[in-house]
Amino acid sequence: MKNNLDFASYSYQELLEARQTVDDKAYPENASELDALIADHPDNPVNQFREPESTRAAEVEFSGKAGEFFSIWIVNLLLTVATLGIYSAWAKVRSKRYFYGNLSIDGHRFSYLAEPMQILKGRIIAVLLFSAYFLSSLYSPILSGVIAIALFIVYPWLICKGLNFNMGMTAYRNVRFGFVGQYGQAFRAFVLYPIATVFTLYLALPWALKKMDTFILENTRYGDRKFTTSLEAGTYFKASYAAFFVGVVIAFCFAFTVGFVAGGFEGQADGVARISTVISLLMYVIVYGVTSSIYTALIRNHMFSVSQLENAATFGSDMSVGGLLKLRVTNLLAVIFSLGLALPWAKVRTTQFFAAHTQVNVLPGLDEVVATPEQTASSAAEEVSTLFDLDVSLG
Amino acid sequence: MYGPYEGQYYLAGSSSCQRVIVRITEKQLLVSGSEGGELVCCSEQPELKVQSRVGNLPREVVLPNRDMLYVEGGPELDSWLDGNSHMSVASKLEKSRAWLIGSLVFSPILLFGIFKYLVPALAITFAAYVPYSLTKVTSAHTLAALDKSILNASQLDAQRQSDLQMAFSATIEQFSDDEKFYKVLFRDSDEMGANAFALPDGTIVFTDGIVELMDGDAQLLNAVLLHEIGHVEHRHSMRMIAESLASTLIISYFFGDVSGAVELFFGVSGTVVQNQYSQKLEWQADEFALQQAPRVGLQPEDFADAMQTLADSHPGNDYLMRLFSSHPSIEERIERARAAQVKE
Repeated sequence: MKNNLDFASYSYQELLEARQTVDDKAYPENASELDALIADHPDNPVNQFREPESTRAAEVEFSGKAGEFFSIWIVNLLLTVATLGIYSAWAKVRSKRYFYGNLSIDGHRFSYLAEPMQILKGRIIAVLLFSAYFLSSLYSPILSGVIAIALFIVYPWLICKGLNFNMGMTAYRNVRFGFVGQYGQAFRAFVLYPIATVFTLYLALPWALKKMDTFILENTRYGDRKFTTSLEAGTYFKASYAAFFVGVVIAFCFAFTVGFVAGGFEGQADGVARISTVISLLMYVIVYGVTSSIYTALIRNHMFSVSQLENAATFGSDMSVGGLLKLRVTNLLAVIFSLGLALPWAKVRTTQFFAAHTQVNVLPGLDEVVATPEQTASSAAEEVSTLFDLDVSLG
Repeated sequence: MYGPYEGQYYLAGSSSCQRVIVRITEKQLLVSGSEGGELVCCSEQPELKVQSRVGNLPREVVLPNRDMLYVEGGPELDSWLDGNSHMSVASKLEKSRAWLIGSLVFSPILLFGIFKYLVPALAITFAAYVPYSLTKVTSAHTLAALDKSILNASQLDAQRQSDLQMAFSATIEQFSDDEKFYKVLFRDSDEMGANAFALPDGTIVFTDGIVELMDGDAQLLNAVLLHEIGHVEHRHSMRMIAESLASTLIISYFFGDVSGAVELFFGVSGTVVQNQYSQKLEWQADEFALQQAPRVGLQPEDFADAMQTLADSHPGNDYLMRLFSSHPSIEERIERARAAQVKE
């Protein structure tokens, strides 16, 4: 081992490896230099979890108004219908820009950068793929089985590309988000693990859900910064089992009530049929609403509390299950009884609710985030429209 | 010269930000620091990349050096930024009362028109262009899949099957031609009960259940056969496929960007829309059967009887259920058959 080695250019992993090969007694200088470099290196876990000196609570605000968004939405609807769906790409960009632009953290707004033509191309491809799948699966049930397997293989790729596009089109303070997840990891998280849980009778499904969230979070970037997270499987098990248990109890109560009511109407087949249709629909809505509210609120609170943007921000969420359930139920009722016209109102107040229950603590490092070289190569607002940047998704 | 307007200025490639004052002259956009007042940059309109206006959000402007400027201002700033382009047309429409009222009135009318007339018309065209060789393969695959899942070999004895085939032969010959050849198969199925269905190539399957229910009555079973032939002649399978594909795509695009709870709502409405289609197709098959009845020596009354027999075996049929079910009310179908009888 020579003394003129330049350890400063080593990565953290290389430093650790070098330290193990260095003999303390033979080369005490090298050893102590390595120790010092390891202790100060930013990738050292000790440094990552060191409490920063000056965190500052940043204001999270959503300033969108239901009336204003209603006018955007209704004109979008008319133009989309009148152009047989073509305008839907422009409509999507306008409503996304409205929601992103009205969401601000620490006085800085988000922006949505996608161009309508990119969305339109993606949608045309998606429509063609979907039609081909739909028609060929009707053409032959055997072929549809082959396609279903093919879809399993393509699915992780679609997830990566979709996240890649959506993150890349989101910017904050003129710096883009990004997604660097690769096919192999996505295949494990979204196909292999969920299928493997079949052998545990789905009991281990919450563990697979945790893997999915970890995959998404840890591969998300903001400029040159990584998101890191330490999600705990225990919370996923608690949230999933609680949601499942409550859902089953509610379904049982409904089944019992239906049986009771049907008994009262003995001999009136019409009445029973009508009531049980309404009740089973109602049951579906309530079970779905309650279970998804339990899961969303518990997991979101956990996810925000254990995730951070390295040296730039930490997060918090204080969503209550009751609050979320109330929001969803009132939204659904309003949308049904207004024949859909309350949709813009529901979307605006949902975003307001989510923003109000989000905390962001900013570290001084946030001002130093820089875009990665490939991001600066094409400016934040410049069109990126290679084929693989398309958002291939329905809806 | 207009301004000053307040703005936020972001340097390209980094998250740093400074507050700025923006002024516009006839030709140039001038950006200066809000405190010191020194000029940060100046640009002419064609060099800028300007995003269209959305709601009351500040305007987003990308400068030639890829710095980004957010600026809030009045109508003068808007018209200067938009220049000669039409990109803020949407924003003007959204602020116009006439357009809002127009959208409220015409969106539902157009949607109704699309579902009621355009989609079925497209589906009929699509169905007409599907070659017969393709429907043959489709039918063979579908029958194979059904035979593996819910259909079993018929329990009817061979003598009875050949008697029934004899009874059907006149009808089958009447409608078969060089390309299309009708044939009847018998299958046993607990899941399907008393039922008959047609595959698009002219293969018609009767379950043992329906043969038992009609008590092997040749007239009644021929009436059912004629109804199924109606489905094949009108290419209903292909129409159903095209219509459900089109309405799935329309529902996911027009209402695509909606939250989970609402998808549920549209999921239900999608089912209702599709079942309305198939009800219409059932009527068409009935009509075909009633019109063609004299060619094979049947009376409309035979349909009424066949329907009545089916009705007696399926109690319970009210409005709400019908909305969610694919067949029209049996009572109505009997009435139509009787009405056709009277007309003759």
